[in-house]
Order: sequence, then C-alpha cells, then structure tokens
Amino acid sequence: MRKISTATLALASCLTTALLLTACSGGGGGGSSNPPPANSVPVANAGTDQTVDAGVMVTLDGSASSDSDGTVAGYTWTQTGGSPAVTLSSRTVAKPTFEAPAVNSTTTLTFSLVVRDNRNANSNLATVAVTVNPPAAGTISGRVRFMRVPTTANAGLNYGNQQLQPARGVIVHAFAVGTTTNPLATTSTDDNGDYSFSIAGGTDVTLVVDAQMLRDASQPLPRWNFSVRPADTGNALNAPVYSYTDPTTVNSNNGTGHNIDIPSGISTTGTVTGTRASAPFAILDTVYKGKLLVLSAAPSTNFPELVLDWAPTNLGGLTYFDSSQDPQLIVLSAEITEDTDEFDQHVIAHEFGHYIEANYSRADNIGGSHGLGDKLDIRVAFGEGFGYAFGAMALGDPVSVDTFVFNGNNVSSTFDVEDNPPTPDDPNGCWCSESSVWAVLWDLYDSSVDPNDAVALGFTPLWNVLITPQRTTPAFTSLFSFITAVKAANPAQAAAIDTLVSAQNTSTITDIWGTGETHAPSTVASAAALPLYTDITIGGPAVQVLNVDDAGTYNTLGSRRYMRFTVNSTRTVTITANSSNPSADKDTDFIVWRNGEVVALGFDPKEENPETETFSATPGTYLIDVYDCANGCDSPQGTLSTPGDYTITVTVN
Amino acid sequence: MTTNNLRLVIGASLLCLLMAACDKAPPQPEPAAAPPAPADTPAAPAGQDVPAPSGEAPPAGAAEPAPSPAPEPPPPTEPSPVPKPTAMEPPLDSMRVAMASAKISVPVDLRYQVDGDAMQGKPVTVHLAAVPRVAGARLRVELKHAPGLQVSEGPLEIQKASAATPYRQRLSVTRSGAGPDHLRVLVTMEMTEGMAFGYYTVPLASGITAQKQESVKQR
Repeated sequence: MRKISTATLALASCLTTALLLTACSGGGGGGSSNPPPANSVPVANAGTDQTVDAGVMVTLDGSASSDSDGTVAGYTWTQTGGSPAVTLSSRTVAKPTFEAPAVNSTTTLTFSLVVRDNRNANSNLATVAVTVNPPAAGTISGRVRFMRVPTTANAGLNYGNQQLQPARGVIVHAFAVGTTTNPLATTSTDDNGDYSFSIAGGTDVTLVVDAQMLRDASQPLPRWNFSVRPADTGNALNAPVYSYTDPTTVNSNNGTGHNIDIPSGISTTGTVTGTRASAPFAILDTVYKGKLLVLSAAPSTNFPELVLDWAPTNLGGLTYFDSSQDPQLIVLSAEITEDTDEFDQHVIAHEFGHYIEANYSRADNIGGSHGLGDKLDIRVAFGEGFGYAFGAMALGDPVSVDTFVFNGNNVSSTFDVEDNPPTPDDPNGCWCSESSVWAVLWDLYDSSVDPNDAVALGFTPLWNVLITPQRTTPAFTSLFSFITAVKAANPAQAAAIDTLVSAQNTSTITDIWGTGETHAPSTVASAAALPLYTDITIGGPAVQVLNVDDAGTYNTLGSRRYMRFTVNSTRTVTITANSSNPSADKDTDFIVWRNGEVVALGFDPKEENPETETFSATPGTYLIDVYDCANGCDSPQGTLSTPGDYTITVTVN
Repeated sequence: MTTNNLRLVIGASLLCLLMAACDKAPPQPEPAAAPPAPADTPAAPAGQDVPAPSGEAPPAGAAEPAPSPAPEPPPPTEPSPVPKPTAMEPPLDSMRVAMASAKISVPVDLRYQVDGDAMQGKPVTVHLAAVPRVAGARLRVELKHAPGLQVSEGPLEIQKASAATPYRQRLSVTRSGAGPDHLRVLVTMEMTEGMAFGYYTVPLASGITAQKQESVKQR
C-alpha cells in the first residue's frame, strides 16, 4: 500500500472543507470569498377585519405574522383612519386592545401593522379594519305628571288632597348627564301626558320638562306657543320658561318607563316647603283645555304666542290679560298667603277667554275693576261674561271657584254660571250684568235642559258668531250684538233664545243696538241707561244725554253714554261735547268709534270745555262714547271734580 | 281743533291699552287727581268716637273665623244702620280710592285717608270707608296681618249692606321695624250671585305723599 504523507492529508482535508463550504453557500463567488447568507423579510398579518358594537373591547391580532428565515421580533401598530382616534393598550405587542368608541353612526377604524424579524428586517404594511356600530337605540318613555291642589267650593285650596295629573302637550328634553345645552332629544307629551325618546342605548340622561306648549311653524296648522315665565326678575316676556329637572338619572338601556312627577312644593297643610314647581304646569293644563275647545270648532287655528306670567311675588288679585304686549300676556296672582291662581282653573280659563275674544272676535271691553253684581257698561258686561262662560265650557264645569286666603284661612269665591238668576224673576238679571251674559252664553252652549233653557247649540255655532258678525258689528260688542247674530244663524232656535234672554230681565233682542229694550236696573236712572244709543244727526240740533255714577264710575252702566250718527259721504266732522258739571275743573271727554276702531279722540291732557274734535270721516256708522270725566275716567286716576248726575250736550257738524 | 295723524296714532295706542285687559285698569289720558290734602289731624284713639256701624263688629283684636259664604244669602232688604259721620271723619269725596283687585271682585269701593306718615313706632290714624256699589250681605272689611304692623281694630262686619252707603272704620296703625309701608285689606260680601272678595292696597302715607308717589308712577 502506498503511504500518504501527513502533509498531503492536511491539504486534502483543507480542500475537502473548502469544497464543502462552497457547496453549502450555493457556489459562485469563484471561490474567492464567503459572504453571509441573505435574510428573508418578515410578513405582517394584521388579522381579519372586525365589526363590533361601541363600547366593547376590541383585540387586534398580529400573531399570524411570520418570518421565513427567522422569527418575528417586534410589532408596530398605527391607526391610519377613522375617527375618533383610539388608544391602544400597546402599539408594540402582537395583540393590542382598545375600547370601541361611542359613535352615533357606523364608523370604520383602520390600523396598520409592521413587524420586525430577529434580524431587524421590517415587513411591509398590513392593514385591518374595525367597523364600530353605534349602540342599539334605547327608549326612554313615561308620563309627565304635575301635582294639582284641588279647589273646594267654599274652603279654598285643599292641600291635603293633592293629586298627580298628566302634563299634556309640554316639552321634554333629554340631556346627557352633566350637560344643560344641546339636548340629545326633545319631544312633547301627548294627550295623556306621555313622552317617549329614542336615544342611543346605554346613555345616561337627565330629563327636563319645560312649562311650554309649542307647535311651531315647522309643523302644519294648528300651531301654538304658550309658555309660563316668571316676572319677579323683570319682564316676564324676556324671562326664561319655567322648567323642571327630574332628579333621577335615567339610562336608555333600562328599557323601563320613567314617570316624571313634578311636586307642588307645598305641604298638606299649605306650607311652602320648596319650589312650587307644579304651578306652571297646572296653569298650562288649563290653557290646554281652552285650546282644545277652540280646536273643536276651528281645527286649523294658528294661536298667537301667549306668555303667562306667574311668580310667587305676584300680588293677590293681580290677575289680568293684556293684549297690548308682544307677545300677549296673562298675569296671574301667586301670593300664597292672599290669593294664588295657578290651581283656580276658572280664573285662568276666563283670562284665556279674553285672549280668544281679543284675537278671534272683537273685544270692545274697556276693562277696569268689576265686581259680582255690578251693573256694567255693556261692553264690559259682555267681555267679562264671555270670559267666564268660555271658562266653564273649556272646563266642562259651570261652577266657578276662585280661592283665596285670609290670615291663614282658605276660602273660596264661588258662583255657578248655570244659576243666574238664582231665583225666578230675580231683579238682578240685566243685559248690563256679566252674570247674565255668562248665564245666557252657558245655556246656549250646554245640553242640559233646565228652566228657561231649551237650547243646546254647543260651541261651534257660538264660535261662528264670534269670528264673523260679532267681530264686524258696527255696534259695540255686547249681548245685543251677539244674540242678534246667534238668532240669525239659528232661526229655528230664535224663540227658545228669546226665552233664555228674557229670564235675565232683558227684552226680546231684535237688533245689535238693543232697540226696544225696556228693562233698566232700578239702581241706575233709566234715562242714563236707555236708550243704549242716542241718535244724533250731522248738522242737526244739539242732543243731550244723562251721564251718572249711579252704579259706580268708569266702566259701569251710565258712566259713559253712547251716541250714533251716520256719514253718507266722505267729509270733515266736528264733534263738540259739554257737560253740565258746575265744577270749574270739569272735563268732558269722548271717543269716536267705527266698527270697533277708534277714529278720533276727544280728550286732551289739559281740560277743555267744551271738548271739540274734528276729523275726516268716510261713509258709515259712527259711535260716540261720551262722558264727564268725573264719571267716566278710571277711578284710581280720579278727576278734579266730583262724580254725579250731569247732562252732556253734544253737537255733530 | 283738527285731528292729525299723529294724534290718531297716539290715540289708537292708548285705546289699544284701553282694550287690553279684562280687568287691568287701562291708562287714561286724564291727569292725576289732586284731591284735597287731608288735614293732618292728630290721631285719636281708634274706635273712640266711631262706634261699630251695626253693633255687630267684634271687639278689637278678637280672633275671627274666615269669611264663609252662605249658599243662599238672604236679600238685604233691611240694611244695617249706618253710623253718622262725625267731625273726626273725613268727607268721602276727599278720601282716596284704594286700588282694587284686577279680576272679578267684590263690588265695593274702598276709600281711605291716612292722617300723616306712618313713622316707625308712631301710631297713625287710617280712615277706611267701604262703599258697596250694589246691596249685599255680610260685608266684611279686614286687614291682613303683617309682621311689623300693629293695628288697633278688628274687622268691620255689616250683615246687610246698602248700595252707595259708606261703612266707615277708623284704625290706629303702628309700624315698627321692617313693617310694610302699606296695608292689605280684604273686603268680602255676599250677593245673590255668590260671595266675592277683593284685596286692596292702602299706602301708609299721608294723602300728599301718596299723591306725589302716584304722579310719578303715572308718568
């Protein structure tokens, strides 16, 4: 055997190793060097797209990322799209998590993933989309109720028998807890006081009820805007609407109803224990009833805005309606130790009746103080009587109750619009009495048959008279103008209507002027009561009328006298009036009217006797409302001379 | 005089106010009244020379039940006797008319005169005269209690009241501390139609002062 030397073996070993190494490296290189093998980049995998609900925990999954020649050593996640930005639990782990944000609509969030291998090679971007759905809609529903203190016929408000009643047609807001603006939802309660919101599920909300009934121009007719506001910080017209914030936080996922009960803030003994929160809603409830009555006859009514001013500082007896404000205003008493009217439904409905009369008919009523049993100016008698009749119709209750308090005792002033005169042939009936007016109007409306009442017209025929003939009558608005029109529109009922009217010591009404009226109250000089309108002719002789204070001043029967003249062609008219009042401070005044509009004023800041006024007149019938200021001016402002019986001499040229 | 457009506009505005309220006393174009200033007579002990008009008024300070209407009050056919005015009582025409309740109320004019200003701790005499505009029953005139006001007399009550008859009462009123500067007076009366009430405000100032205040208010 041939013997190999040690050197040869070493060389062979070296060559073999070189060859092996060359083979391992894939050859090439001419065998001149040995570079490291190439690294394969890793492959990122951001997982599959997901669809989730808001609020759930989402896990992004990059665990399927790989590296063919090594390992995945790192992850980098980035949100690349969608709003809102979310916060990942970690950007550098395989499976970061985040809470799906609250969204109002379906929202897609996108994320990118880059992985790094064990040799620091980065992958290409991989993306994944997470679609977030808003929470399933939740519902909050329930009933809004306010605490009413009921009235009693003689003993005032019954604080011991307070009752929850539905607040109908009022505005309800749902605010996100902790917020007071931009409500999540707004609605109005229905005819049962019920409300319902559709709000994103799982939302905590605070419910707020406004003392406002609103159906605005965005909706078809009918429309209205009635609100209750306080005036104790200034003008109620600019004050914020009363609202009640429910103390309970309600979650829209609860799925159960939530009633909002608005407390009276008054104990069972009548002591004020907190905010009198239910008062504005009690007021609106009465307005709601009045609105329903009008809509029963005129379903497309567009009610002018009305503000009701109620504040605990409003004095007792303050209650009135004021059409001269913009928006129009009803002010209500609220002094709880004297007279508070929020629960006196007839009082509120009466004032709402004035609002209706002023806006849809015509109110020639000159206002002023008036008491039960007063013999009034016919315009005042009709307006006030209509108000109480309207209230009884709206409430379906003829017994009017006005509660008051005196030195701690709860008392009521009560009368029944059905019950006048209280006894047959009662001499207190009069076309000049508001109680006679309300009795006649109520009997025209109601369906019950009682002595002298066989008429049951319901409301619509009365409404139709109000809105047209009563609105356009050339006479003053009175029982005479109203009954004349009712009879004309309902001739089959004329005889029964005459019977109704005669029960009030009133002659059969034949025209708007009260022609033929023979009944004058015994307390007023008949010559100062009748005729209602004294004719006077342009260019004719002077005419005298008797002006008295027999029934009081300003707005009572005889304290102002009416005269009537006709203009046949356009011309200038001069009226002169002079009172027989012997006082050096006497003051004769007059107002000239045509179809309910003032066309001339015969009074001056400085007394002028005789009083003269000249104006341009177009053809038509004109009325002169003439008086000695001692009798016909408002009593608080008084006059420089003494009220009494005076003859006023009038000429028209 | 010729009516110009401006006057008509102003007039129409005034009449708009006139028409406004069922009850609100509308503004009038007349200047404020200037009734004769009442004599600043010294305050006499209340009730000393003005007997209770009908002999039915309870003693001063007696606790009174609340006015309670009867469903069917008897017609006041026999009016209660009327006290004759004394030299201490002001003429009715010189007394101011208290502001009445705005809504339907009792058909009674309440007139008043305050003899001097109601200084703290100093009694002042207040003359009241309730003048029904119609006849009625159980006419009652009573002052509302108020902290800081001490009133000498109890309520005035007349069983049968006649129209146009003044029913007078004279009170001694002492104002102390933060007592109000006015009285609140409740008047109730029963008519055949039912019972009615009215709250009236009587300022505790002399006629001269009250007149000045009112003139400012009217402007």
